[in-house]
Amino acid sequence: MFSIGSLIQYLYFNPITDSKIKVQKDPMKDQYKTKQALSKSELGKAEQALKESEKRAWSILENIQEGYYEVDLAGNYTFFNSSMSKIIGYPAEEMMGMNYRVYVDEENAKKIFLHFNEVYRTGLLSKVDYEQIKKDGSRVFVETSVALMRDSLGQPTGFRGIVRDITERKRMEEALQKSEEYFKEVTENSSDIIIITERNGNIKYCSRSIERYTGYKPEELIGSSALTLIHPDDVNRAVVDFGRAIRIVDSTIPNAFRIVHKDGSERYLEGLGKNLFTNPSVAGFIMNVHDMTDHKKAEEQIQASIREKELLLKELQASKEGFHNIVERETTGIVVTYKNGIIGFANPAAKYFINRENDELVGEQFFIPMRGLDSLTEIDIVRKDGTVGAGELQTIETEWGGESAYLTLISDVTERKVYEASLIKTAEEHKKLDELKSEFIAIASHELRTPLTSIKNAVDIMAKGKAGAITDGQEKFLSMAQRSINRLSTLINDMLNIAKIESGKMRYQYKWIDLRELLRRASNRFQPLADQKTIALCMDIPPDLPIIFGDVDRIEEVLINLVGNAIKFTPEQGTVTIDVHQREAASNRAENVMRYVEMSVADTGIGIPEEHKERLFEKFYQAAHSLEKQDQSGTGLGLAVCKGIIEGHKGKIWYESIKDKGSTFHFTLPLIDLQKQYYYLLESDLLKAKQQIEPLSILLIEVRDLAGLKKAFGEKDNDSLFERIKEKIISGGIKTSDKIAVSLPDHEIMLIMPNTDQTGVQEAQKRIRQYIIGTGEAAGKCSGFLVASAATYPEDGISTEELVDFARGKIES
Amino acid sequence: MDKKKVLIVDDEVDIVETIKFSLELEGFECLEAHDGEEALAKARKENPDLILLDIMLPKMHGYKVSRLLKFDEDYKHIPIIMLTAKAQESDVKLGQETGANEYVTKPFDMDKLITLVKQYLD
Repeated sequence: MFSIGSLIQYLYFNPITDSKIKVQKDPMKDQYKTKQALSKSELGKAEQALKESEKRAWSILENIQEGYYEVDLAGNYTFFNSSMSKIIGYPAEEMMGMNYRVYVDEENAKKIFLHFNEVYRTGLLSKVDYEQIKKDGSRVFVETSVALMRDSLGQPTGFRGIVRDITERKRMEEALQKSEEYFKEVTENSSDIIIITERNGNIKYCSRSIERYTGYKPEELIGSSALTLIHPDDVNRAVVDFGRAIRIVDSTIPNAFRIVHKDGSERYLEGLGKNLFTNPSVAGFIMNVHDMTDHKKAEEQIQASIREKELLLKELQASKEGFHNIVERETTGIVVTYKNGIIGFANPAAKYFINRENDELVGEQFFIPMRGLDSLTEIDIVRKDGTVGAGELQTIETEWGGESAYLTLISDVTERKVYEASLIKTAEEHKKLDELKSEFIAIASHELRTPLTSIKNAVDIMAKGKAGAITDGQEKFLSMAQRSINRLSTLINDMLNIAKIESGKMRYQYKWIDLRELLRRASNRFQPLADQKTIALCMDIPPDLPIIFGDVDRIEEVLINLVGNAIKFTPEQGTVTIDVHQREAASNRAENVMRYVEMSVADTGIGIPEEHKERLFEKFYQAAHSLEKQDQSGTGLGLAVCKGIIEGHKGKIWYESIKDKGSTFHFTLPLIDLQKQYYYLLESDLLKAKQQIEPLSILLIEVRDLAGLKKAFGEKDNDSLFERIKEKIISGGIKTSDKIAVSLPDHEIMLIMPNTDQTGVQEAQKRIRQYIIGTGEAAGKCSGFLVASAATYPEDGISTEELVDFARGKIES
Repeated sequence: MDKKKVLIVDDEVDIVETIKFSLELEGFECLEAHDGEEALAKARKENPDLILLDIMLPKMHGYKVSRLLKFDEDYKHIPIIMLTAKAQESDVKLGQETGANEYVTKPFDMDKLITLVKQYLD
């Protein structure tokens, strides 16, 4: 029995150059010819043997699975076995003489042609595979061996070979290739890393994905130890695990370790390792790991967020407790009411405030009628000690359980109320006392002056002999009485002044003062007295004295007091000198130089002993008493009044003295910026308003059209115009406590109105406007001439500057 | 020539007396009143040439007496000299606003008062 393999071998490697294989039915002419020729030249036995051999070969050919073919040089079938026709898929009768092109497509035809051509050229045996299409249209892959056939002369006559159907093999190959590709694709592209190491840990394979996690390309790693990738802190553990794993075949160990990326960052890998040293296809330790860094990070974040949440929860708990404390224990009553008036919540404080400590209020109608949102309502409450106190109730809109509701807060304001009441009471008492004092002063001055007037009148009548002739003795005593009457009169005036200064009720009539005129009057007044005592009264007055802003009568009083004292305490032949100088004092800020006028009254008297220095300006302190017991003419109030007046004008008063040489009294008066005079005027009134807890308003009137107003009023100069306006304001009906100040340079008039609120000042403004510019047609004509604006303490400002600025701001806007 | 009539109004009889004494020495005829209402009635009845008017008066305030007379066409011509023990600025202002011609603070100098009266009546 021939094995197929050996036959094929035979056919492949022993090309039959002149074989005489008979075709079954329709053999080719040439072949017959050859056969005929051969059979003619050979003898019967040989012919018989050959026939037998042919027969055997044929039988073999017919029984093999492989196809056998012979084609001519053009590719037309000349001979083939039945397997061949089976493979090709065409019946034998059709196949004979058929060209190979019939059953292949163009591409395969080309392939076959080139291949056969190659064989033709080289004469070498070769193999080719190609795809062919069966008659039924199905496709098969075939493998063909190709050998060149030659005739007896060695000329190529055609080709022959064995054809095998390799469709199944091809399919399996393709499947394998696909599976390989798939595996490669999977290993290379999967996020997992596959590492195969040698027994010593050196990497012999790693998937491309390793680059993504380590930064190294596989080619950089292959050959080096896998341990070099592992984080130093995890190396020991990895070595131990690996050492254990390589000793046990097929053992699988989990790996979890950190590696160090090429860029230095850490990554966390996790996976499985398997000892596959005995598996020839792997022959190594295979590790399948994946990057858990992000997962780890996410896990850490989750942990952190859990910790954070726990912390928050704790805080929430704490704040809840805090809130609970407030709601349950604190002194603020809290009531939540739904919009329909039903109570949704009430805390213990709220309950005891309304004396319902032991009742459940939820569900009840609210016990206090709403008085509008955000407004404070005062209610009576029951305090913890059982007494009734003052409560303050405030309702705001809120949400309760997702529903809109009212939140009412009840505060115990009893203590505050008590304090407020005591404050008000104190203020009232103070005010009352002050009023009492004023009343006392008014009564005292009236009650003392009235009888004094009678006495004075009576004594004067007698002393002048109008009630009949008087004796020398009578005249002496009457003049004694007259002196005392004058002293008493002065004393009453001084007491009144001191009382007013001390109670802040001294009202200064600020005006522009011509100092020269003031000094001339003082000089005229004292000249007779000085002459009488043969005292020289000297004055040193510079020609360019500035005008000052103050109460001329009061300043004159100070001057009279000081000059009077100087003459009194200066012996005969002495000198009293009055000096006036303008001075400047640097203040802490360079641009804020204080300018002031200093007046001095110097005498050549006995001087004032050092021990009196501290107390000289105190009331009823009379240095003179200890010095000159016989002189009883002082009241002990003069210097105290002087000090009060000067300080009231924001000046200073002091003295220097040398015993037996004389004393010099100085006082200063600030030169007030025209712009600032209002502030000086306002300040004392504002202080009083603050002390008395009273409002105070100012009304600032600015003349816009000076010329127009002058024409309308028929006035020629500004002074007379402003005097006229002042008169009009007065006749407009102002209170006796109101003050008027005029600032000519600013064309402004300010009306200071103590104890006048915003409504009051608005009414006054309206009234004054009518008085100044009239009503109806006249008003229309003059309406642009004046503008007025008010400011009220405490609403519009609490300092003089603020009030004036507020009023000015309104005018300007 | 008829003597000029001066109405002296003060609730303090001694003051009225001393003024009256002094003015009569100067040749004036003096009338007296001791409260506001009496002052007003006497002024209207006697039509004096000048009134010396105290402020703090019983029954009717001196200011009111002054205002009533000064706003009355029949009497506004009568000069009024206010006498007061009050020496506050506001009093001065009020005195002026009520139409008084002069204002004299107690205790006053009798000679000065007589000079003032003569200014209005001569």
